[in-house]
Amino acid sequence: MNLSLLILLPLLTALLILLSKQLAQIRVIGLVGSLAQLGAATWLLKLYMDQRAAGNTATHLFETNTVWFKALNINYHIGIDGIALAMILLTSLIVVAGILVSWTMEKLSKEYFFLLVLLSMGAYGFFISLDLFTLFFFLEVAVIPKFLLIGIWGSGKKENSAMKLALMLMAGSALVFVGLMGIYYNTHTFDMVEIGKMGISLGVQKFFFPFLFLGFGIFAALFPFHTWVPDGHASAPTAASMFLAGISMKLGGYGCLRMAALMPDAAHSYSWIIILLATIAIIYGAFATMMQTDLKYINAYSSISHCGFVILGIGMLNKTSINGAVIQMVSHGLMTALFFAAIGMIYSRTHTRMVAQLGGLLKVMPFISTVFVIAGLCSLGLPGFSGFVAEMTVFMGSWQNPDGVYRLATVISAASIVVTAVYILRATGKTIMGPISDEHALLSDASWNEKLAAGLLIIGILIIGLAPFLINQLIMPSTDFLMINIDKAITLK
Amino acid sequence: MFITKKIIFPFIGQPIAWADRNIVDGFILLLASTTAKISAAIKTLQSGKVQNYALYFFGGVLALSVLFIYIWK
Repeated sequence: MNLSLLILLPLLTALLILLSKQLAQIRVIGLVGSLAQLGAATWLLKLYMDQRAAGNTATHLFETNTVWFKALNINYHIGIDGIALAMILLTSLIVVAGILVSWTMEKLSKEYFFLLVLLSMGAYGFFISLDLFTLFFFLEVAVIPKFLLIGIWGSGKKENSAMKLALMLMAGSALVFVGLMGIYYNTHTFDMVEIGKMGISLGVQKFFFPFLFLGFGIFAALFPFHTWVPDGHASAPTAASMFLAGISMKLGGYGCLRMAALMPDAAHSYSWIIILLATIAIIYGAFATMMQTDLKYINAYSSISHCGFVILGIGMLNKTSINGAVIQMVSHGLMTALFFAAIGMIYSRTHTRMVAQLGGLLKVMPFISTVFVIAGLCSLGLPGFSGFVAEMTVFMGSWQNPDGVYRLATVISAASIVVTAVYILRATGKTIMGPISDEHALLSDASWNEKLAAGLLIIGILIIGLAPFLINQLIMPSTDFLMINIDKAITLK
Repeated sequence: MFITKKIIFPFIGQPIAWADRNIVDGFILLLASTTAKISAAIKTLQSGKVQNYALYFFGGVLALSVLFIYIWK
């Protein structure tokens, strides 16, 4: 299968949306296009697993390498491993769910759906890139739609939030760019596969790794550069919040993981800083969430805490912890998208997101309330849901590190589960239990499109939660490849 | 419930939430407002008057001359 299809499908969908004239046409094109993406991603999964089962042990499958800009040795080099494929599947699921929850969007609907699809194109391009410049190009493609989606269709302090998000992410991009230049002028190539084979000198790694890790870290809400997350998520329209937390933040986590594997010596040298920042993000994010009164802020702050687990898993630099980080990226993507979808459904009916103004919604919205509870239980890591598998894998990997300080970081991070339970149970209890106000007593439950969107995300959460071996089968061989590079750095030390 | 409401909320949760908005985010906002102030200050340099630009030019020549003569001898 030619991976360019993953870029061409959203591009074609976006162009058809621009050409369509009626709202009904726009919606149908958006939905058909997103379903085609999901179909292509699922077919890709089948082909990938078939190839692996047939004994194909290449690091990347379905590779294409075409010269893009010869003078600077920039190639359109694409290919996937199991980790990239997991991210592609996550993206395709969230895109379908996002289009479905936007079904009733009437304000500038053509532009809205166009930007959503464009954002997904950036994400697919990013995940399949094996050339650092191509990777950076698609990272940028995914940034601009976020600014417009929040600035035009957002709520509250939308201009301020959009500007803050765009500027902070652009600052992250600038850091990434400096890092890329540093690597390029020392290796004379942007090709990640070639760079991985030839290695980067220790001095260059140590100087440029912080730029790259911090740059991608800003996308992944790394403490203390996370402040775009609460405002950005809270102001964004529902589907944009789902895309932001479910896909965009994963670009950062994925980038951090690739950079750690590309510059393993520097990753080992700086691992204590990475782990320190991740641990602060986990516990600080959890406590900050506890004091929030707006449902979107609750989910946004909890995302800072949950993304901290991704960074922690990467920082620990062992096979189990990195597996955990990847599962956490997928799990958090699904869970947070589901949470934002449920919050959007509640807000569109009650016109409030304030916990104190809600209550008793289970009586009138049983489906939406159940979705809300499932997202909450997944967030607090209840067994049976993906959150449990992801966080447990990160903790087990982190504990493998015999260093006392690292174990302390693991214990502190694990303690955040208790704090998570407090804020999730409080928010859930106050929102769906208790008496219902008269003005909310006649509200309706989820519509067909909302049920379908939530159902898709819940299926993803349950598959990982109940059959974690499936995602492990997909990502483990790729983690093994990453570990060859990372372990080589330890041996050299 | 007592520990959560009387100890964790007021002594841990609230200070962290306050610090996040006022110190961490405050620093980011300070960076933004400082940039805006610098921008507002230096935009007055672009007056559109040739006489002003000539003045900056000769000021620059003077400053470089001083540097060359007295410092980078």
